[in-house]
Amino acid sequence: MLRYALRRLAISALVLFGAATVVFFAMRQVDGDPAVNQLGPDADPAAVEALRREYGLDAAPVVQYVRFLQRAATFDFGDSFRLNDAATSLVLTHLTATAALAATAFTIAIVLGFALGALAATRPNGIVDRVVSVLSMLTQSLPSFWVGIMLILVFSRWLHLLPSSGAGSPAAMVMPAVTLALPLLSVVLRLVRSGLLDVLHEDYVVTARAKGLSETRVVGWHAMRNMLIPVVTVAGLEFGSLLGGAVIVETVFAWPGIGRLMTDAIAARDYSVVQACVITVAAVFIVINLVVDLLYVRLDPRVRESV
Amino acid sequence: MRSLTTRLGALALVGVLGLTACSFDSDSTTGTGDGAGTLRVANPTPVVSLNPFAANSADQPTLTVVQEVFETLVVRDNGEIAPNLAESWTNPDPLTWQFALRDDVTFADGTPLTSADAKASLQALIDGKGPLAGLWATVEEIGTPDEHTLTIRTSSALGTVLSNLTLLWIAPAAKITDSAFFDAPYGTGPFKVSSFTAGQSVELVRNDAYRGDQPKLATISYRYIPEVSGRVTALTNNEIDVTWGLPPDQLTGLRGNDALTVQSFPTYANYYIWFNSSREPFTDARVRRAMWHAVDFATISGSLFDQAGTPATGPLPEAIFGAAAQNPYPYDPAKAKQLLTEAGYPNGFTTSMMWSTGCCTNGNSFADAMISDWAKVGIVVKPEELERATWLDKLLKLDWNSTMTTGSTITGDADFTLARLYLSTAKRNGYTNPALDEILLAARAELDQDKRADLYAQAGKIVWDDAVGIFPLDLSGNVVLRTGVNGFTPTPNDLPSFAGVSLS
Repeated sequence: MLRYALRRLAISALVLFGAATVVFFAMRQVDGDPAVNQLGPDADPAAVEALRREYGLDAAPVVQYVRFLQRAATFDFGDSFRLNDAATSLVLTHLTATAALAATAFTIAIVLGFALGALAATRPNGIVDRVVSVLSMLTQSLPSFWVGIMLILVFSRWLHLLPSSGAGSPAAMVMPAVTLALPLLSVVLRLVRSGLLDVLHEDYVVTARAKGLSETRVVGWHAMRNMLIPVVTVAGLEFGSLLGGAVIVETVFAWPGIGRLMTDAIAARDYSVVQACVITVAAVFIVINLVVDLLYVRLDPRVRESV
Repeated sequence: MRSLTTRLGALALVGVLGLTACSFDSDSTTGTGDGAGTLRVANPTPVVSLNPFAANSADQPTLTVVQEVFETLVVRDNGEIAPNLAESWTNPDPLTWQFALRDDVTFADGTPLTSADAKASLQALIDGKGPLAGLWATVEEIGTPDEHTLTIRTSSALGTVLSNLTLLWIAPAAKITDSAFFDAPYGTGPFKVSSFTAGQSVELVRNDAYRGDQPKLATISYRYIPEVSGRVTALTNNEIDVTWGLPPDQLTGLRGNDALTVQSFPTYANYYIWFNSSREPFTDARVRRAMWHAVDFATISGSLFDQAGTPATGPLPEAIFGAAAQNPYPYDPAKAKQLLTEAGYPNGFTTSMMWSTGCCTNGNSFADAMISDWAKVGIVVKPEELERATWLDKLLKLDWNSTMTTGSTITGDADFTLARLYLSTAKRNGYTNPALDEILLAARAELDQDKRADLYAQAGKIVWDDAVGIFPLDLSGNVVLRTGVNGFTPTPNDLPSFAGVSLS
């Protein structure tokens, strides 16, 4: 087990190094100079040169790369070119905002996904099942910018229940979190439903029923445990995408998250912030993957044996 | 079985209710009857810095906020330069400007304003090497003979000093080199900054030390809402009181809303399509003029721009000092064909036009419309919509055939646009004309403002008649306010100012 964890950690470090290298060189391949972007077309060329020096962009790419790696090793990504702040602190504040959103969305998706999935599975092809299936198909296929705008229309414009944008209050969290949760909700729901249907006729479930256990205990304890593995895999990966992929929802609801920070930084060629964002998001992905893999070991005796 | 269904159903219901039950206090305008309270503003572009001396010194969102906090020595009032922190000025000799500052002004922290502050501010703008630093390139010495006298000496006569000063914000000399000061700056203006989160929000509070009429508003709260539909919803939903910079199609809907007032007004900004005069076939002025005659701008602007713009009469909008009306280019495809034939392109040619995403009001539709008119005279124009950073890169390398953009003459003075963009040394569009250079440099060195205006009229005529670019449209600004926001006066620099606003 320890060796397994250590090997996974070593691979993770390599992946992180790869991500850092790719983002460093990819940003420098894109047209557009950070200093020119910052100062605009009317700046004196000498001023642009001076700013490039200040940013350290006058050195050879390899030299820049080595400097970047040295500093990144201490979580120092330099200052933002665009915003008067250190890239690391910008990323952390924006990541916190996105994480709050993602965690809420994740909770909604898991709680509702399990509840509705189980509900649908207990009476396959019943009315509830059909309604849930159609809803899950809809929530997965509707693009989130559309869902977001529709929610704003209904809950802000018509019902005046929720603020249409911003991040000032818990109420402001509701619509963006729901919008973000919907695609994941339908995935979880269908996994739970099909997983339960597969196991509900297994011998051990029949045995459990024969023992006289309540249906709640049969489904909620005995059957559920066996379909957790695919759900944990998918949910783990999706939590990562929630962090990285919240950019559309963040734009629609003016949520100050890391997705928007990253797209704005790319547009402004704010190298230090882009690098800090990508590496942070990659690190989060890696940690989640690691947690998921370790959870397997906990959940699945077969994996436990092989490790 | 039933009990499970019921329980799960109940769980799901609780989840949904839990979400919607979070009640939302629509924190409506906190008006208290005396017009005080908080004005809630949604700016269309993010405020990334409150430092008006460096990279963001010509940035509209930055200027919108700092104009409430800092003041300038002189202001432009209905087109005329008027005293502000400076009471009067003279030219002891053509190279020297001498300003007498008011002696009754204090900064928000109580320290009195002196000429040292004005000197430090100008020095900061020059040292900041931002986009406005070039306006002051000929400054040789900034002097402070006494506490309330400022002198600016230049190496050659500079007739634009007063216009340039309308964008020189006076900040306390003791703080100006401290970058942390600009996290919550204060000046001599009606408001001071209480909090600022770059790219997201700014909060201003009334400056009780302000010498002028105390503003009615207690606070102004700016926040950035990136989506147009989000801003419109926030406005109609009473979450904000004012926004601006909305596209024409949105304004049409809002004009009918009783809770809102839409104000449209002329600005210093216009649309233009440049040709790269250093590249075939645009080296020939006849080709450039043909491009202009080939497009039916009256019809296009009527259908695309509603009240968002007016047909241009010259290369600069009329409200700008030095703007003059020129001879219009009528829509005349036959004339275009004839000019093309004379230039050696009887069957037209193939070229391209670039612009940056989001550069321009209804930009993509406008480009489509022009491209289809050009096709009718045989000119095939490939559209190239680029990300701004890429567009800027190509623009400055002159790596383009033609480009569409909008621009604002933020000082309100023709020099800012004509001398910045059309001098041969500017290398911005491949156009070089020694005669034009001579006029523009003479105008810059002329201290007599009437003579300067005449010279810019001549310069404008050359730019227009030589069709360095097409100037189809002067842009109107628009500000949308909720009913109950009173006393707002738009200005042509399109930097909405709220010092005179009250709430009812």
